Amino acid sequence: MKISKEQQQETRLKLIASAVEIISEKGFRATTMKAIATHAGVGVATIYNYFPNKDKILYAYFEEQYIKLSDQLSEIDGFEEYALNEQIQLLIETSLDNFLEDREFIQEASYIAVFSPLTSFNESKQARTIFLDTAKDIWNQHIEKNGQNTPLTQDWMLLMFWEYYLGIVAYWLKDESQNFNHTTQLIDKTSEIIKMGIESDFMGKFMDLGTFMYRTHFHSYLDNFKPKNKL
Amino acid sequence: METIPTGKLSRLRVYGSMAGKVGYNKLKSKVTKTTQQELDAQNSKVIFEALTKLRGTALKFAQMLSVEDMMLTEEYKKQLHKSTYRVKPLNRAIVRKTIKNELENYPEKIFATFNTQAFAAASLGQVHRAEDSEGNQLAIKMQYPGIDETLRHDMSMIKVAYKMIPHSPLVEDMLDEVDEIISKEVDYIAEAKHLEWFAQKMGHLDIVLPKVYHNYSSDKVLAMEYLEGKHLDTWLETKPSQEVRNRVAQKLFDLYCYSFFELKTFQADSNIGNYLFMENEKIAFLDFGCIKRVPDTFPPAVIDLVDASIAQDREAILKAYISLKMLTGEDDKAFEKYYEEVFVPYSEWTAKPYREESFHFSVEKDFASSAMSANLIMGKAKEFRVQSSDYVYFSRGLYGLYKIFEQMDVTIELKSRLEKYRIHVNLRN
Repeated sequence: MKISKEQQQETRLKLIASAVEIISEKGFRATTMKAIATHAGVGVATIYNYFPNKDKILYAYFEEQYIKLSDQLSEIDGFEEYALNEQIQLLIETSLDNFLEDREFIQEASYIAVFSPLTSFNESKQARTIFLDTAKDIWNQHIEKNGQNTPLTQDWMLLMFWEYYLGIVAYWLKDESQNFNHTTQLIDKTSEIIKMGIESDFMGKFMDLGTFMYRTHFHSYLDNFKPKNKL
Repeated sequence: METIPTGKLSRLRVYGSMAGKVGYNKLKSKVTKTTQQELDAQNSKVIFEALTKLRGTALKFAQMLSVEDMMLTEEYKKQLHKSTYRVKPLNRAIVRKTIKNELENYPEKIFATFNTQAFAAASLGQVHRAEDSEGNQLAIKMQYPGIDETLRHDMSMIKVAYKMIPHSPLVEDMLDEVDEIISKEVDYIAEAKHLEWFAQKMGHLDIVLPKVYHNYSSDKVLAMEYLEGKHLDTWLETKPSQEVRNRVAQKLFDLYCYSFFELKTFQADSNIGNYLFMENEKIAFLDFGCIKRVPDTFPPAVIDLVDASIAQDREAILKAYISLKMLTGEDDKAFEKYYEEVFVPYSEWTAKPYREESFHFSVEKDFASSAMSANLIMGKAKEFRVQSSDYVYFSRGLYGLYKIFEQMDVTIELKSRLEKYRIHVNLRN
């Protein structure tokens, strides 16, 4: 029997939703693939057609989240008119707002995967890329608007932005203030700094310095280790 | 966009940097010989920026200062006046978040249009324009997120600061008053109630009060009908004629009298941002965050004080102050001691506008502030141990109104109004 793409996607989403629910309740370790499949009304064998293990479901959740996030931002009236720091804040706040109903799950996920610094970099790549593509879009819009060149360090800075974002999520998970106001203020303050950093091409200048140091000093230092006489 | 420093330390730093900048500007003037006026302009800009950056309590103080500005030079005044309805807006992302938190959805899902740029600042928040699906034009007043927490920090900081300097018990009372005013102003549900109460009680008079839209309101968001009009400064820029100004000012005074004598409830915080001057000489009252209800015996006691002051009757003045609970009755020695210094100028302030049929207010005359130094002396004197908050609110409201009249440069009738209410009061008693 052939299953249409839509049906496939539907089952996939159902499995993710089930996983979120069970993991929120029982924790990641106590949740089995079987329990997820049963909860979603899917055969135990079938679940493995979609996800080889629990970790993958976790990452898939975040992929779906970030696809939704990108859509939400594009629906906001006059989003392109917003200042860079406002866009950054919207990006993060909207993402946190989406996480809100799954907060316990996010808490669990943060220990296990995605938000842990020990996470395999490649495992979370797909989700991260989707998120960073949105961030990159926002950034490129500004580059275009201001007639600047894309900085050579862009990809690297985006990765730093990801780390920053993970930091904010971690802060949010511990935030006990009403309506997570402390997180809002933290984003407000930090996004201004990011805006300044981007507009001044701080990283580019820092890289210039690094390259200079490397060429003139470190490289010649390495020369000391070259075999002196070639026989 | 602006951020509000919330932590005590960061707020102290802003206060600190403000003092530093003022000092630096002073120093610079020595070098470049800037004129005093230019210097004031620079300094007031720095102070204003720091105050508005702090928002919350500091902005509230800026607003209060903009009423009680007798010690400030013109440039300071100009900057401070700005704070009453012009402050840099909050980050638009935060605006969206606040609406989502309070009204359970994003602004674009709730309203047909919603402008994320604020068009006016409220004392502890800002106001946005919106239109609902039925085409109603709305003014959405929104509180700065986290402002309650900020206020608590600020007040405890100010209280600590006051403990370190010598002061009279009155200052502490005043701080409690400020505390009360501020906590009242963050409760928008109460404000909506007040607004509707006034609309019901004053609806038959020549006054415009915005309608409340409860379906878009919460304790931190207040949706009101949007009213087209100008604030005092911009209205005066349109150069309304003397007659028009007189009529409008008279109306303002009459409305104040009505709410005080008839309703015994009035806006305790009458700063210029609370009024909107509309077409056809109409006036709108906007802010009902801080209202004061006084006991029935209070308005007649005020009339007694005015009478005693006009007659310059020492005994009657003392009696009136006691019945207003400004004096305990056991402090008659202090009353004698400070009579010339405090009570003579204060009585003059109380009586003067009511001596003749009409009274001319103008900035040059600067009548409104004439009793302020007396007020300060009383505030500092250790002999006076009580100060009735009713009277403080009442005179603050009146003082704010007189300041507005001076800015409008108007001649209005006060005496006949007092007579009218004297008859009312006597009839009722």
